[in-house]
Amino acid sequence: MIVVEGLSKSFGSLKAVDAISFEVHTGETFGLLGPNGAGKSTAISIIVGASLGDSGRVLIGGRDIRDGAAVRRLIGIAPQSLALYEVLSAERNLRFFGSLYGLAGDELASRVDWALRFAQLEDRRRDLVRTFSGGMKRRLNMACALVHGPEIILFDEPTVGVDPQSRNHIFECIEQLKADGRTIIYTTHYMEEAQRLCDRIAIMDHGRLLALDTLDGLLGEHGGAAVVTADLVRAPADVSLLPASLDGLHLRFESRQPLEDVSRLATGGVAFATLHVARPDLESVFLSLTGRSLRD
Amino acid sequence: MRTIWLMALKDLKVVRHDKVGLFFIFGFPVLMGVLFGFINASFSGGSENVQLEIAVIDADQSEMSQRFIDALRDSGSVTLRPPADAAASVEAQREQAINDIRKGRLLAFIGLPAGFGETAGIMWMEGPAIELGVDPSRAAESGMLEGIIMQAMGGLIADRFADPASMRPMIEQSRREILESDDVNPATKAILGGFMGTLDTFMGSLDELNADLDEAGESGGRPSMQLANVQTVDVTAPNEPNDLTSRIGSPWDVSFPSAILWGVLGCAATFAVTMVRERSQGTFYRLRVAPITRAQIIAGKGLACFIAVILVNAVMVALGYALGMRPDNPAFLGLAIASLAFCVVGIMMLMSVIGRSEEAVSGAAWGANVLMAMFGGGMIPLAFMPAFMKTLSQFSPMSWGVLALEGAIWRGFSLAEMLLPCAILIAVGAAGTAAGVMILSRATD
Ligand SMILES: Nc1ncnc2c1ncn2[C@@H]1O[C@H](COP(=O)(O)OP(=O)(O)OP(=O)(O)O)[C@@H](O)[C@H]1O
Ligand SMILES: [Mg+2]
Repeated sequence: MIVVEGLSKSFGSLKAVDAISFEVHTGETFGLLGPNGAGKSTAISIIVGASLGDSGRVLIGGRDIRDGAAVRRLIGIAPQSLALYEVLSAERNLRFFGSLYGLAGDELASRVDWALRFAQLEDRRRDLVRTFSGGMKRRLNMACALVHGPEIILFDEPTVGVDPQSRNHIFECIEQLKADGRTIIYTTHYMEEAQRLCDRIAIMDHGRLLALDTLDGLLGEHGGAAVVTADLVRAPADVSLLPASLDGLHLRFESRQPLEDVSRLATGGVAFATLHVARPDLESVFLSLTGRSLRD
Repeated sequence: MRTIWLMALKDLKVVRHDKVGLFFIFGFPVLMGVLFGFINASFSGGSENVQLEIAVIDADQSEMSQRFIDALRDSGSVTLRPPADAAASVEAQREQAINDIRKGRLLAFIGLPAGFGETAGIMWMEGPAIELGVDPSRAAESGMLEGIIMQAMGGLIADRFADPASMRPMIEQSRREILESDDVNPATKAILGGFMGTLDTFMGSLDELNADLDEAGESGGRPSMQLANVQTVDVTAPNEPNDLTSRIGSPWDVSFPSAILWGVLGCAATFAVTMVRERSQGTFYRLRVAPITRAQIIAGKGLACFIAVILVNAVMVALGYALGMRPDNPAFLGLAIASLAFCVVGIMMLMSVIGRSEEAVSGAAWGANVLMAMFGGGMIPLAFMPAFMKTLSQFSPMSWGVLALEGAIWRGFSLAEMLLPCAILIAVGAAGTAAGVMILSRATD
């Protein structure tokens, strides 16, 4: 559905996007994960045709994004920075953006109602956007991307500043969109979101694409082993049973099958006072790929 | 077209919420119009160093007429414009002057009739009338000019006394005519003879009077005694030069064009700001991603501004009608307003790309507005400007806007005469739009 080939963009001497290539399949939710300044938003804005790349190309359904209105109609975007008319009401914003995509009359009205429900702003529909809280604006910002019912949706860090309840609602809506077969590109620096929503995840840093796979694929390839830490009730009679040497009663070892190892120990008569299994996650994937923590 | 209309409608809704912008678009011009109306209606002062540019058409070509002209020049209040073509006939020069006044290129002309020199400066002989044609939008200066004429005539009287030889033949001739006349009965002859005898005493007192008049002339007041027979010429009616009925219905006819200027400049600044706000609040991003062309985005913005300018003008014209303004030619007024609106769209486009922040654009826009309004005559009458400012005012599109509006309201312009200011307005609009669009299309981010 979306083909990105060798996309690059520099600002002066800074390579914001450095020769990235990937494909997003129809109906897939594609995550773009990276720390601040990785180049996610820059890549997104080239993909949707809001700015021009220095080199490379983007094909949407086989056609260049610059080909015109038909391609653009397929796309909906919720930009990272809010893009709303502050002195117009929620409803007017939605109506205006919907009408730009050719909607009119009853169809426009029912799409606007749907979008207001999505944004949970039905009771504030006639209030000016400038009277909204940050989270409300963010929800409306997403709704504006969806009002014309696009096939391809790009969410650029849509949950920044949204409270946990609304965030959950947003996730449910996105899952609904997934179930409807929409193609979604979702950028975030929250690994939990990528883990929950995305079929495949691309990890970006300093403008380059470091890895691209399913969650399990990334964890298997770059996550390393799980870490098991435990405190034992007493030292076992046969210490050779243990995968690592004891530090007093404290035990720590790495394993690719932590649960099997633990149950083997338990059946061997090892008594655990505490037990903690740390499975690898995207954090450890990022750490192993860059030597830095994602949360820097 | 639907898209452009949608864009424009959205902008008008956005601007509706901009209270300050609305005040500058609608409130401010009304304020200025009313204020200027009162000023035009009652202004009667002037300052020492004001320079009024006038033409003198001398049909007499006598020594006296030359003295009068010298006196005008020496008054220090007027600059005399030399005739464009000195060889042209007096009639042609006069026509040229009237035309120039009508087009706003000249403040006034003074016509000295043939035979002026024979009687000028002699109190008891009323000579042919001196013609005075003044730009009707300069009511203030008109009063001043009459004062200056009186002053110059007063000077001629003084000249007559300084040179009694030139008076004596006239007195002698008068006395002889009276005494030799058969129609005059002896009683009358005696009275008139006595009158001529006391002339010397009377004339002695004239010096004092002259001094008074000089003062009166300088403060702009009208002398209580008619020193000169001044006949006002209506320059707005070139086909009937002697038609004295003025086309100006009310002071509002004159004050509204300059006031409208403030409203349209308000539109330019306000819509220029909505354009940068589009960028700063991120909505420009959505517009660029939407299935519309950049040309439609820009046209929508321009259309909104155009509509707003038309609205301001409609409101001002309606208000003008209510106050007694009667435009000469409503169709030309429409043409002038449309040209002005197009010009403002161009100015708005250019302003919108001056800076990247709202503060920068609105600051720069209002700065430019104040300059354009000042040089366009929106603050002080052009006549009170130093010469270099008058020259610069030609470069303010607003001075052409005012001229086009005045041309339609009371200057009685023909279609051909309307074309110059309207063409300049449209050219400025086109140039501004082109430059703005070019700069905007390079700013993709
Ligand atoms: N208009 C611009 N001019 C100059 N530099 C820019 C511009 N836009 C982005 N950059 C630079 O490009 C790099 C990538 O920025 P980008 O916004 O794409 O990052 P991001 O991955 O979206 O980060 P975040 O998670 O903070 O949103 C950054 O170093 C940024 O400073
Ligand atoms: Mg970003």
